[in-house]
Amino acid sequence: MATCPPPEELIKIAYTTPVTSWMDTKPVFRPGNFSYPAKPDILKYLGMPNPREWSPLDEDWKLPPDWKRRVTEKFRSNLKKYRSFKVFMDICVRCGACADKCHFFIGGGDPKNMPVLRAELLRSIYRGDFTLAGKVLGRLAGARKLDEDVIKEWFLYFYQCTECRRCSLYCPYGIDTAEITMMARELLNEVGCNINWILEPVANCNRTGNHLGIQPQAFVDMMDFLLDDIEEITGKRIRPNINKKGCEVLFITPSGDIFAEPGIYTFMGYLILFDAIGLDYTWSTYASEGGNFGLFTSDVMMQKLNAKMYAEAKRLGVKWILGGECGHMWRVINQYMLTMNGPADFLETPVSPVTGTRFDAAAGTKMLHICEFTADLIKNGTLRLDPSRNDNFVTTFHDSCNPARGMGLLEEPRYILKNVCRQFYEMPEIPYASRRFAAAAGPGSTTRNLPRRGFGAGCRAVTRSSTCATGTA
Amino acid sequence: MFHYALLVILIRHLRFFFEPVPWCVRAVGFCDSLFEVGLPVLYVSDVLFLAALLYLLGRRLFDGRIMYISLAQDYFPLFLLLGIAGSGLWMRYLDKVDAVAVKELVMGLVTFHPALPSHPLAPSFFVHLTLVCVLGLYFPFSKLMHLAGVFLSPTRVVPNMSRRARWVNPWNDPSITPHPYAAYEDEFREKMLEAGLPVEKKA
Repeated sequence: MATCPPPEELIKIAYTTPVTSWMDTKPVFRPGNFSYPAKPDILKYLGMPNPREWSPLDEDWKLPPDWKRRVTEKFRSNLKKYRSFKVFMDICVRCGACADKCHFFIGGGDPKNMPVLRAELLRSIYRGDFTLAGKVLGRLAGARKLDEDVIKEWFLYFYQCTECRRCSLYCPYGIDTAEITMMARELLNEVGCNINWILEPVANCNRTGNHLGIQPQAFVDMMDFLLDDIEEITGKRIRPNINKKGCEVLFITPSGDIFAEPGIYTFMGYLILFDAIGLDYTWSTYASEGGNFGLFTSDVMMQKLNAKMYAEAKRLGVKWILGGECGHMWRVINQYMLTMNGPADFLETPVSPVTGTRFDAAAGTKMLHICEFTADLIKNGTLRLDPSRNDNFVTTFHDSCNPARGMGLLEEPRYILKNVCRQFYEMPEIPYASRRFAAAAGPGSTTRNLPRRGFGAGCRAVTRSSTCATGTA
Repeated sequence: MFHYALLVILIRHLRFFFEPVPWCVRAVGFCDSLFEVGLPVLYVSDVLFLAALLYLLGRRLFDGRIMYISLAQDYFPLFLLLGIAGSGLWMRYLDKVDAVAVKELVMGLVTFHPALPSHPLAPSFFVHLTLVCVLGLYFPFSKLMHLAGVFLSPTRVVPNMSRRARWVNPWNDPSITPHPYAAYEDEFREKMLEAGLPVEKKA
């Protein structure tokens, strides 16, 4: 078990670069600076290649004998499939605008966490294998050979990207390092170098319908606990529908909301709000996960896990789907869902049964975000709110990377907050809205909590850039 | 600053390609030489261009992080442009090249009737011209072509309507289906019945 260094040591961040070229600097694995590899039985369950016991601290990572061919072939096929990936591989001019924007870099000082260099880790192999200039000029054009050290480097650095896309905001070409990270992870999956933090939830989500492996009876029990709490505070016993057919709305939220604090407060909020407006909706234990760790794995896994939303909506015969609050969930729903799982002809464009507002922005996916729904309710005056009850809270809003940068959901959460809390203040200018450091996550949000890595990085980065952070993060 | 200075310089250079010189080109030249310093008159855009180039090069050489990521192809265009700017400044202010002779040469080329100018031309002009030709040759193979990315990069031009309308992906695989509900229920049916949840099949 790695020990956490004292604060005085953690805050000593050096932004100087090593004397040797980055291509000659080998990655260093120490206890505590990497995520644990995926367990072999998980990989076997998911049908993914090369399940075995291994550790990044070993010299030999037990890659399959044809690993080089596999990686190169997958690279080639991904370049063909994803035109955006090909563009991003070609187009970086190394202007350095992104360099100091990544919170992992700011919090750690490791130059390979600069988005430009993180992408170069992949791009140097692209140049060496797929471009004429790279093949001819070699290192002069920034190309390098693919060897095992490169795979190790990819494992260390591409699981340090949280796919928050802050870098791509500042990039003049909008190069999406998150997409490059996703591609690199697909390449790593080909040789069986992935992390358990992502794959075990993926396996759970496939089997039990949610990342945490909560079985249906446990889901009901946990909800009962929360209903007991609500009854104690409000005096009312709410009786929500679970797995019921024929309701108007299917509500899907991340399993974190039923699992532990602070999600359970959000969950109780959902229960109370829907009861207050008399919404005809149902929960589902089969589709009990809004989030999608498949996004952090591969396009196939993402498609497979997300498909159950539409499958369940069809089975239960609802009209549209309402989604809870979750970043990677909404990245997938907003950007990919309609293309990969659609069309959703058996559903209707969401119309709020309380206000009658028709949400054409979601006319394709038929899936609405809870903030859009609630902001609409408040705007039409259908909720009797008493903001003075929140006067003991001074709040701010720290936009999550995916709903803000990924969806454009900037105003709705603020509107809701301003209407329920009289002491709402915006964070300082630089971290505002879309330029904000991400609150959530690519390797899986809690990988940030590994000492010496993201959490430290995130905290240090946020403290350096904003003076007030009493909001949620 | 660099790009605007470059634009002004390019517009001013048009005076060598037209006879009579258009009024807009002369206007740009007039504004540029407003300070009326020196003879030949010092153009502001020349100063700014050189300053911007030196700044960009300095940034690549002195900022450790930028130098760490720079490749040969990042330095080469900067040096080339410095060479062009340098030879241009040398030619104009130090060699004081005969502008009329230059115009004779250029107009001859442009009208496809090349002729040697009547007055001798300083060699620095030919250095300038050669370097510009090298830039012209190099440009299509260089990273400078990436400027198209500002207009064509997918993340900059695709509108945020992916929830509203469906983009059909030609290689989308419809055979990727979720773990079926039937299999889910088979695994958990007893527990679901015990918890009072509705099930599809009773047994």
